[in-house]
Amino acid sequence: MPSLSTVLTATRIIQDVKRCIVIPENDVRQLCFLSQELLMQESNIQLIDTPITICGDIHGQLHDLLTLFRIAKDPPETKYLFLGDFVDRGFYSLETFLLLLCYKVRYPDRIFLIRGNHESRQITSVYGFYDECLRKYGNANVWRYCCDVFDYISLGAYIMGASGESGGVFCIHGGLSPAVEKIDEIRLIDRKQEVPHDGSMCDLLWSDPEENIPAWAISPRGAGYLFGYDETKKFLHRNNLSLIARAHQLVMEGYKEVFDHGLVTVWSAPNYCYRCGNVAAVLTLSDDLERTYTVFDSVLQDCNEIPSKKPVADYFI
Amino acid sequence: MVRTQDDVIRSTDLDALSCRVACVSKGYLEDEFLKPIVSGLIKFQPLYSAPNTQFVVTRNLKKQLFQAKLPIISRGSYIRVKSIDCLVDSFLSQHEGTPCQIVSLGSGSETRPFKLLPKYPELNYVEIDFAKSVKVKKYSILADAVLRSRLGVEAAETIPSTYDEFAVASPDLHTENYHLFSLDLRSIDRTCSKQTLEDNGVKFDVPTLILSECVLCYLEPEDSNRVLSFFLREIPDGSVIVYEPMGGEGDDNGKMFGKVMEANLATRNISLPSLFTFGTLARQSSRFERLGIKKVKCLNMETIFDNWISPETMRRISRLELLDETEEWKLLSEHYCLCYCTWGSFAIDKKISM
Repeated sequence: MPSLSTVLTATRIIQDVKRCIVIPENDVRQLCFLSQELLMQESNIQLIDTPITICGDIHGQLHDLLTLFRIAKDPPETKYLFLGDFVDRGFYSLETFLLLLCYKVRYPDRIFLIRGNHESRQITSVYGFYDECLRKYGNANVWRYCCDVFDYISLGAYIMGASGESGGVFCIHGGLSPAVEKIDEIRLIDRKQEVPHDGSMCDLLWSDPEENIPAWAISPRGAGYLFGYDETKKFLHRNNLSLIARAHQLVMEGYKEVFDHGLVTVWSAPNYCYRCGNVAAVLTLSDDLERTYTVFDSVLQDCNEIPSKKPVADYFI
Repeated sequence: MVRTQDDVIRSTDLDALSCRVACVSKGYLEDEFLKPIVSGLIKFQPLYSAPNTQFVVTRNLKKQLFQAKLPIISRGSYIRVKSIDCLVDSFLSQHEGTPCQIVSLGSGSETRPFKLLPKYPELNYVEIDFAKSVKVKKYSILADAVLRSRLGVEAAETIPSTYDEFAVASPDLHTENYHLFSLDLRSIDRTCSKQTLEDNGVKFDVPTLILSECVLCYLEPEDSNRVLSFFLREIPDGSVIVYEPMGGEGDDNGKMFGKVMEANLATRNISLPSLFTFGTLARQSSRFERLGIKKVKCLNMETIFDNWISPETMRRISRLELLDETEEWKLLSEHYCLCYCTWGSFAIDKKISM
């Protein structure tokens, strides 16, 4: 159980973040320490019960995350699994991540976070989160605290089916790795580190499904692999799974099932980067693992109290 | 200073230039002439502002020019520059040793003339843009020994250094085979006649390549059609390269990217009147075919990126930066097209992989 002071702090930060009030550096530090304590106890693959609502990439689009919570209900009312990529690209990465962490320390068994490829020092220093922290605080301390939390976020989740042992759902940010045959092998990874450039941990966070290939191929992203129908089918069979739920790839319709419904991509950042014009979705799994997709659109709200850039997207003009 | 719609369109050249600056600094592109062009812009552009605001204007200009760009923007800028270079090379190699001409519409801060003119002595290079852009470019050239020598221009006796001096300075620059002058493209074939263009160094009797890199898209469709028709009518042996965004077509889904783009650019007062009129490759193709051009090719930038780059180059540029999102790249690059069309005796196309 979280202590009373933790509850109070987290509740206050939740309120402030929603109103876009800057969270003092020291509060961020405290929250990050608390989160690390909590996250380090979780295993690489978390076991989660149904019903659960699974969310894909958020990418710092705080207003859209608030919309998501409005539509699918705030925690603890709904139990959530976020598939990573909380930060970068959008202009409110910090608030987004802090909000999720607050819910995590406030309701540890009603919200679960797994790590995305953007939860990394290297990627956040290119794709916006580092710059955002620097802009908001004038120094990189807050970015550093958050990156230390990233290292403790677990890698995946297993959602048990009604029948217990078989037919469950494997949840991961990116996808499969040629170095991982059984989910149990993921438990052996020492995850408490920066995302490596290769190897199974990297692949799980970076790989993509590809409908036009049977097995494995080099990924155009420069990290992870492309995996095809056959490999996905084998992995599902080997691990007694009914579904792989992952995020990582923009889907204009918010979600996309491939490989005879054996794999789904869930994307939860509407109008990604304020440029793509896509809708977003979350996936709710009922007790008998029935899938319900909720699709939602973006809202642009003003967040005047926080010094930030106006969301103006780049084009070739 | 009142900001007019033309100033807004001019400002898009700064976006394009800052993308090229980022591409060069990250190692995607090499362009030895970018530095003097950028220095010139920083030196002369602020002279349009009142003296007591020049410091701030300079600061903002630098901030914009050296702004960090995301990898997806670097990649898109890279393929934009290289694919056009590739077609320009195809045109020039077919006319080596014989007179030919490039007319660059809305050329802005483009550096191709500095690269090409010393290499192709028979080439006549014409750059047309707004007076304000042309003037900045002229003095950027005159103020730099390297740029001057590439074009064979004598050093100027005086270079304006104040608001007042710059205001009265003449914008145009002409050498024997380089012509930089100001013209509102919308006036072509209306208030601006063939004779006016001839007086400014445009030749109508040599094989000509017309470049429009995100230029005609700022015109109403009927204006851009008139500009193209004019060159088609007056130049027997010609070719045109058009690079611009496409808004899509059909239902909301098909137009969504374009609609968001339209709304985003509207916050900067930029409008793209033909974004949906020429919103797809098919619409782009028929635009040229309707004008009577027979050899028309329109490709989206995703196709060009996937097919025009050699495996070695692909390996090299993939290593420069980690691209986090390939779907986003696909979406962005399929909304830009490169159209190259020819009438007359020659054809341009990709010859070898880049």
